Amino acid sequence: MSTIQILGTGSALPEQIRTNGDIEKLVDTSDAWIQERTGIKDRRIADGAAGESVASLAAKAAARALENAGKHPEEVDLILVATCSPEYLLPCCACQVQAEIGAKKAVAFDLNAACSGFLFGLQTAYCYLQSGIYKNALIIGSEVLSKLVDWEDRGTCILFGDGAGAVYVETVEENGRVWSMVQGSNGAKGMILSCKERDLTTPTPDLFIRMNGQEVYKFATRQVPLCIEEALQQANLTVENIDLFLLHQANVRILESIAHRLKVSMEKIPKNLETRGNMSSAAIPVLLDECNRAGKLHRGDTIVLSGFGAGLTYGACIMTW
Amino acid sequence: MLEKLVEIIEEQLNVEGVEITEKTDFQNDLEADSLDLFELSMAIEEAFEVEIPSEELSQFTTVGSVIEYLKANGMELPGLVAGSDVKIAPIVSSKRALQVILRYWKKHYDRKPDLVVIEGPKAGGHLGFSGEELEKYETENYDSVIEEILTLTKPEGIPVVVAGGVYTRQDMEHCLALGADGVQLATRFVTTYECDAHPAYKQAYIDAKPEDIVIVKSPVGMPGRAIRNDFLEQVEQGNRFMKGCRKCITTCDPKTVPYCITQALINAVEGRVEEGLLFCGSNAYLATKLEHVQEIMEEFS
Ligand SMILES: CC(C)(COP(=O)(O)OP(=O)(O)OC[C@H]1O[C@@H](n2cnc3c(N)ncnc32)[C@H](O)[C@@H]1OP(=O)(O)O)[C@@H](O)C(=O)NCCC(=O)NCCS
Ligand SMILES: Cc1cc2nc3c(=O)[nH]c(=O)nc-3n(C[C@H](O)[C@H](O)[C@H](O)COP(=O)(O)O)c2cc1C
Repeated sequence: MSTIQILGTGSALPEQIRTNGDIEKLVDTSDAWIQERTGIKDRRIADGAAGESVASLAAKAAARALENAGKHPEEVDLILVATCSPEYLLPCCACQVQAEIGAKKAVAFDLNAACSGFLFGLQTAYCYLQSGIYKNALIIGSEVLSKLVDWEDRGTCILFGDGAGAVYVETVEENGRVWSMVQGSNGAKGMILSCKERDLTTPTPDLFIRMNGQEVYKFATRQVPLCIEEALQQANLTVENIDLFLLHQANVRILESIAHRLKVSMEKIPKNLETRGNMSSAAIPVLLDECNRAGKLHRGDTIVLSGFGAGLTYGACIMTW
Repeated sequence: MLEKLVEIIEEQLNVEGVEITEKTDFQNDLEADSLDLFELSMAIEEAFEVEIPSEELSQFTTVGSVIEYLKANGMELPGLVAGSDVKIAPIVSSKRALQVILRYWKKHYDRKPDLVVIEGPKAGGHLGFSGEELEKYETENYDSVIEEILTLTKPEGIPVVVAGGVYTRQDMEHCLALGADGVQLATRFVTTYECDAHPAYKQAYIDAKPEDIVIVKSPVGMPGRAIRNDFLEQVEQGNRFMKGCRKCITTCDPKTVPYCITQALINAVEGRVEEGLLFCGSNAYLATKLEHVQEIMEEFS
């Protein structure tokens, strides 16, 4: 049976570190409050003057994923970039990455499903590969959210960070490999986490991220366990069969709540948000890369990837590593 | 109910070996922070099949306050009338709300409502909608919600009364055509000779123009509809009018609310209309003169 396999991972982070202490100087908050409610200590913030951008971070992460897989850019068939914070609406970020890494024959386009973007990209690539249209793909999540965050709004500015992560996948013909994927969207609740673009009707729009934190919290802690359970059912597995749960890194309290609901030990839920914050679409691929390079993933392991975000969107994917 | 709550609290807040009573304070005794409380409210929602809007969370200070809240939401109504022949009629504004009540009452009391009142977005007084929902129903029709609710009550044979914005015989006929068994009117009867409110209150209805009828956030947490007056403008500007607490409702925090809802309503009814909260339905502006109850009843029969 044919399915897809992640053969390489890569990530790229800005140099600059912004600590909770730095944020204390911007808004009325405290390191203790932020750590207690979110588990975040510091996050990376892109420096435009140093050439750090969604496109450049994405290209770096992509190059590292290819290197990790031992592949050459010219072999790449498909490049998908999941982002909600590109520098350019035209050309899309995926085309900028294509040019930057020299993946001449690839087809490249962006998709936006906010924090679920990487997962949705992975599923899109799966469909292309499974149908035989392409043989391999680069899926990248890259964000510079620091420019969309209102640094005077303490309800949101403490949460987010910048960065990029990428994976290289290929079709494999091998029996017994698991692949199951559940995706969902709930547009009716979209406005609980929003960020406006310029438009015709609002002369001076508020262009920052706006969020009802509690509603997002409720959505995440209820929806993620549900869709993981659905994906498990699809794959005929139970939580005991899972070696590692790589979950969207939004808030450690959300991770703990999900663990509680799934009855899974936190040991199986790696986290990097202490030093990364919520990097939206980049969160899962960066975590994947860090776990991969730290030797926490072993070929043959069964892993769950699951995320949630604006839209509202959510998804869970189970695969054999 | 305390027992079940204690179970949820122990599991959710990871407390063991602490005696939990109605007096137990979440923050001070159990060291719960805002997210712990939020998680707790989610667990209560799931266990009691209720919906707790996040704005109302600040009321949850002690275990007792949660019990009060669940009681005030009518969940335990059948228990309160058990053994008597008192009829019970929940007032609902959405299919979901009724669904929750039907399920909960069936499971815990094996009982259904004797009557259901559907109160729509045009009603007066406190409303069972969020501000956003009220805006939505300004453009969208509420009829479809009424029809949805009827799909729950019809098979159970529960009679339904529709309230909110029924002002003329034609309005009533519209509701009956949708499938309601009856209608409930409030606003129309305020401007009758027989109504016991002060003449100045009735005059405020007669003088009101459509743009004077506004949605206010009541101190008890819910939105309400009222006639804009000097009092409301002062509240808007941040003036506070708290003089003593009547301890009428636990969902009110006398330390922070801008005014006492009971006092404001009494002021209105007793004719001190510029110091009062003038609750009204969205059709209040239609009144042009005082009428007799008999004339209204004749129109409707
Ligand atoms: C943002 C979040 C941490 C806020 O936690 P919370 O417990 O819901 O916080 P609340 O908004 O209820 O605020 C609680 C209190 O802390 C205060 N507060 C809020 N942010 C604060 C901050 N950064 N520092 C200090 N105090 C803060 C509030 O003003 C409030 O004080 P009050 O009770 O005196 O009014 C939490 O809601 C969350 O993580 N939500 C999910 C967000 C998310 O993951 N988004 C991205 C999805 S991809
Ligand atoms: C002045 C006023 C006070 C009200 N007070 C209450 C109340 O205390 N409890 C209640 O359940 N409904 C109350 N209502 C709502 C009415 O019972 C009724 O359902 C609704 O107003 C009907 O809509 P109508 O006013 O458009 O006829 C009040 C309505 C008005 C106008």
